[in-house]
Amino acid sequence: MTQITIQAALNKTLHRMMHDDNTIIFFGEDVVGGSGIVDGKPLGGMFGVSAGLRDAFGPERVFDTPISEASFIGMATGAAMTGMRPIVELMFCDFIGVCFDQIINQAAKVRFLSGGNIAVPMVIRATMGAGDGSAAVHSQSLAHLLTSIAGLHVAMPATPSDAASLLQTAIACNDPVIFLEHKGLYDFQEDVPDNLILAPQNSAPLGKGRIVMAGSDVTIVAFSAMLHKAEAVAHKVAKVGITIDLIDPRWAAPLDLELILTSVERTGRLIVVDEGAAHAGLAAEVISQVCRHGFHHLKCAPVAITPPHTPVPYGKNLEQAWLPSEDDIEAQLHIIIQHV
Amino acid sequence: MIFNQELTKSYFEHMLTIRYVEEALADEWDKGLVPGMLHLACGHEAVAVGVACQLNNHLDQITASHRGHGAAIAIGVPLVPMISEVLGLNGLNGGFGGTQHIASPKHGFLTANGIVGGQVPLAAGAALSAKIQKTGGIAVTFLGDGAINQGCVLETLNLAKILSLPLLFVIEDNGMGATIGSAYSTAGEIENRARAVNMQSYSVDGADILAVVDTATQAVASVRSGGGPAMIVARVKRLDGHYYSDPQNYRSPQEFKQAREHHDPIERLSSVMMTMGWSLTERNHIEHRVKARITQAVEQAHLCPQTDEQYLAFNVYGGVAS
Repeated sequence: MTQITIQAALNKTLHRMMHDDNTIIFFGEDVVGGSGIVDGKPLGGMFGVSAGLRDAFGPERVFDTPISEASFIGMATGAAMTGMRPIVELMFCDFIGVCFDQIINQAAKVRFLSGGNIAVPMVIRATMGAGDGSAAVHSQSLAHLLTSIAGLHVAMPATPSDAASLLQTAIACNDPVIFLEHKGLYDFQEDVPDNLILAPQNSAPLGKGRIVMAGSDVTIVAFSAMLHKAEAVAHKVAKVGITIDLIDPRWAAPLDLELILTSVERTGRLIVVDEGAAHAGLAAEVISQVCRHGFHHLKCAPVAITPPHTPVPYGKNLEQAWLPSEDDIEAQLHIIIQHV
Repeated sequence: MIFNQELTKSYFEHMLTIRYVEEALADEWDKGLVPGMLHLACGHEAVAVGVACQLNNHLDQITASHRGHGAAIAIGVPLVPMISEVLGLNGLNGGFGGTQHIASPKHGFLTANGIVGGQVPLAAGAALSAKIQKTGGIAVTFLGDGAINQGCVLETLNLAKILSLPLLFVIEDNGMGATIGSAYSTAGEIENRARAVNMQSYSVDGADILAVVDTATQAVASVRSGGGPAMIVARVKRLDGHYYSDPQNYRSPQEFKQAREHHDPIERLSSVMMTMGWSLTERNHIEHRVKARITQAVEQAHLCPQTDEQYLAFNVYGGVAS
């Protein structure tokens, strides 16, 4: 076993995949860094995920772009339509605001509009998530905007192991995949098998979630960084005899509804924790699906734990108040467990 | 450039093919047999034919606008499946895309586009692929002057230049974006947008096929030989509405009459050919031949069945190949 961070897991996976497949190209803002600057030193991406790729694979396959998201996301789509497997970096998912047309009207719809004649095997990596004082337009979790568009897949890894295996699956996928990396998790470490990057059996199948902890009292579905908060609470309440079935869906689309329904069938109680939208977000979607397909298993109304319906605030106290907390999860757990 | 009669005749025939297809589609629309709006390329034929004749549809890829039938036909997209597609039948793209989304990469026509300017970054991607794969191919993107004010288009001019992509921008400048004149909507000359990024631009009368061929020959050669992106600005007149059946009350009758009389590329070439000794009989002969071919193509296109509703969700995702 090796200790590895999510950042390193992503970086190693990129090196491995690009080594094995020379149709993979990689570009975005500052992904090399220092381009056009005399004696500039490479940066390897704002969060270090693309470190070393330029040296390993050369300027034709790995390059910086201007700050022109619409244009370079569209270029990636066009390259994917003509034989390449581009991986592009959208520095913050908030920036989909400036390239939404190229994602939702172009990349997502090419296969459909061409009657299945053209595939778009591309990965759009973007950061997400609050907690670092980046304020309202560098902190959002916008998975829900993308999951509502047919033609896109949305990955949300929460651990180094899943970061590596979901990225392998995303790159192998013949559709556009939006790969959302939580900024607050890049340094999250865990022990992983030494052959994590090399072993294809580690690949997380498209749309398959995983049971993180098995329990029988309450199902908690938690996306991305919220998984770790939910897990901490689950360990805490285990001491007072409450067992949690903790699910990391890993993919916001396709959503592993079967896994969630099977769990709710056992527990009869559902809490969904998501850092995204309070209205029409992932929590609302999971609860809607469970109510429609598993209403008879529910002992009580499901609970959504999300931030309030406001933009992400800047000040430390405001941002902490905005984020769902372990206390929020624990409080809701103690309420929902009362229902029999 | 010297044009022999055979070559000019072939340009005439290609332009006429586009015109007759557009007119035939308009007839089908009148009968209620076209599901959506038709944006006809009448008046733009010389640009499509003049550029496409310089391309190799095994190597090169075109992306085009909502007014894209002309470029599709010019590069060699087969007529029958294309017409079936426009009729919403199981045609080129299964009837899922239709008139604004004709896509046939194997014929060099990567895709048309329903979003003004949306096709332009996609062409940069096709150019990037050609460059990395060293195919010798280039990408060509056709866009109207209305698209020149879209952010993604301006971004792509810059991106293509800094990456030195083999990409040719062909602006079909008909002076109108839907109902708005470019005198109102566009500040400065379109060529200046190219100059701003040090890109070579060529200006040409887009109703003059011989001039377009001449210009396209130079521009394509430059782009193909590694000279980086270039722009052709072809001045044309829209000889139909923004969409077919558009009453065009926003246009002055004099201007429209003038456009039809002086900027019809087919009539312009015909006049030139008459001075080269071409006869009206010969012209009529070609007209009959093309008309017969298009009539037959439309009949055949109608034989195509509709796509069964059970396939509605078939082409949304491909997933991971096992």
